[in-house]
Amino acid sequence: MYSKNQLCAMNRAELQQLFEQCQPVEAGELHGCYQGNAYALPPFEHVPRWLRKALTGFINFVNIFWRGKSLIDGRGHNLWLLLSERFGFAQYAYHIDTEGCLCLNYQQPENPDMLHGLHARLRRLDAKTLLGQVEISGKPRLFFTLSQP
Amino acid sequence: MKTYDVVIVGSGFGGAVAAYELSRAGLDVCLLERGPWFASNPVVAAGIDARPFPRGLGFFHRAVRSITHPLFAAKGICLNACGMLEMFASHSVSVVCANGVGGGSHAYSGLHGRPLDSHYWDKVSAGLSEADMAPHYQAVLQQFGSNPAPHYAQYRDESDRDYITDAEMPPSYWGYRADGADTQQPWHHQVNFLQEGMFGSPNGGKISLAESYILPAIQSGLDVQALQQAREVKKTGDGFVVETTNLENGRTQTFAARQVVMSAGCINTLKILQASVEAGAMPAIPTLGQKFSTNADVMAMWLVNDKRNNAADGPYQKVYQPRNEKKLIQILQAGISGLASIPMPAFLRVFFQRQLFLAAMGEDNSDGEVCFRSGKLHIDFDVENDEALKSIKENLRSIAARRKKALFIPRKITTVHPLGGAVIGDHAATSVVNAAGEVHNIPGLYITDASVFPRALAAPPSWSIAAWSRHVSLGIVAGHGNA
Repeated sequence: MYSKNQLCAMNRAELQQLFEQCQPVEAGELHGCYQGNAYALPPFEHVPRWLRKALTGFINFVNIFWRGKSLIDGRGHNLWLLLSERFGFAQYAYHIDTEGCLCLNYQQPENPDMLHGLHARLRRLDAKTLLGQVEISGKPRLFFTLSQP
Repeated sequence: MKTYDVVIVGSGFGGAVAAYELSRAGLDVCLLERGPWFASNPVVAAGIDARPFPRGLGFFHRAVRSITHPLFAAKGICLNACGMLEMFASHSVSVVCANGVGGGSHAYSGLHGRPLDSHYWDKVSAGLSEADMAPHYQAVLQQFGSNPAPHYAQYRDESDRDYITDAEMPPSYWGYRADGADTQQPWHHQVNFLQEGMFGSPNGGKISLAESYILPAIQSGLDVQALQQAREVKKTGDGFVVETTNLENGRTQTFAARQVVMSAGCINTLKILQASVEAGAMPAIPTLGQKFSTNADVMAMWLVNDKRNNAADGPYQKVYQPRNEKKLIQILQAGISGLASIPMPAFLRVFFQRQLFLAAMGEDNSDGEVCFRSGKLHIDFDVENDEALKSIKENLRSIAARRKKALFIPRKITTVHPLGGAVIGDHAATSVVNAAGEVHNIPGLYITDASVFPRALAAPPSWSIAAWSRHVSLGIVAGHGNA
């Protein structure tokens, strides 16, 4: 089990290592809206560990904009402002790949062009939490968790 | 790869009518559309996977497909490939186009009018006449299910005597259902002008091409490929190959056909044809892009702030058509319909409901030029010295002066009726297509959208595009019969 504070302190490389140790996701176990938290935010990558922990922790504490993601019947949205699909924006289709990663494909016609290069993969961190990795131009740039509200 | 008899690029008034006529004649037809199906009741009932109309909060990310501007990268900024409107900004004129299966029929005002010049088709080509086109106009009206547009006597006043009267005007029609009609259907078509403006009609009260032409054509075997953006048309030995990008997965696809009908809308047809010529996929078309017209579109907001103004009456209240102007022009006075589909505070909605909208169209010089330099749209059109535009602005000010209320006329011309660029004519040196709609030096390539009109129509072009498309399609069918 990793606490939010521990995850907030980690940099990109540490989260990448953690991601690789995570368990595969099983098909059919996910459905509904999940609360999200973001970690390894690019502006805080090169600041001292204690400052990264404080700033990332603060951003996740006052998190009023990005609230999480929905996973419903192979499709989903990022959820903004509310933990419901009412303000859904940035759509994706999802499937589980051969390594057991839940892959989110943002190449959807509804999305602006700039989102088409995004790919996200998720694995199970613990019983209630998924750890996700966002790849931009093929490189992991950001991590996030999704947990049941 | 399967070879179709005909591939049609675009599903607006040009493409949908061609798809219907060609499929009904038994040809193997594929309709390519870069936009999605929109979820009106008839489309949903047909079991088609469709996207929602821009309504409520979804308006903010579903209304606009893409914006192209000289300062942006060549392909512009695509906000949502399933959005309804596409905006092209250029230095002289801006253009707004529609996107989606059914094209402009979702986004237009619903008004059908013939060219203001009653001899328009007699002057286009030696092979065409008003008499040739008349049956096509009638057939389109019948298939579309249009009704005579009402004349609202309550909006006429004594000072209208400078303009021709309703009785003198040719009949006009609108693409709205008679309320309560079509009760055989499991849904009820309800016409609500406050909801059915520029952003589609979910309940089908405003008739779209998707239900009137494309769904019946599917029953005749039409293959509709939505979310396929055509990039290039290649001439091959015995036909054509249309190269597209599948917007659902980003992959390139190709569609082979013996004949191709271009009807992607004026600007997009010119863009695809120019890209094809520049890539060497097609012989040069010397006059492509010439004789572009804005249809002298001028949209003005008249701040009358009148509580009696009723936008629910319909998309227009009356037409001003001056008697003694050098150029033919007409000005439509309308309430602002479609307000309910745009999320805004109630006080703003009430404010806009009390104002009037003046939409002018006229016979401009039709001497503009459209080209794409490094993929960026350039429209060369002399807005300052166009007589029709000057006359329209003078008339708009004189109309506004009657009620001593402010009139807001945007300085920049934004047209929703771009015309010309691949015009009809008898000679390859002065035109792109012949009287049968076939490109002069490229047999088998036809154009059926607004880019063929060599002069401004001074009227909404939807009905004329549809009639032209039917004329071209029946010619193609006759050609197949002879073969």
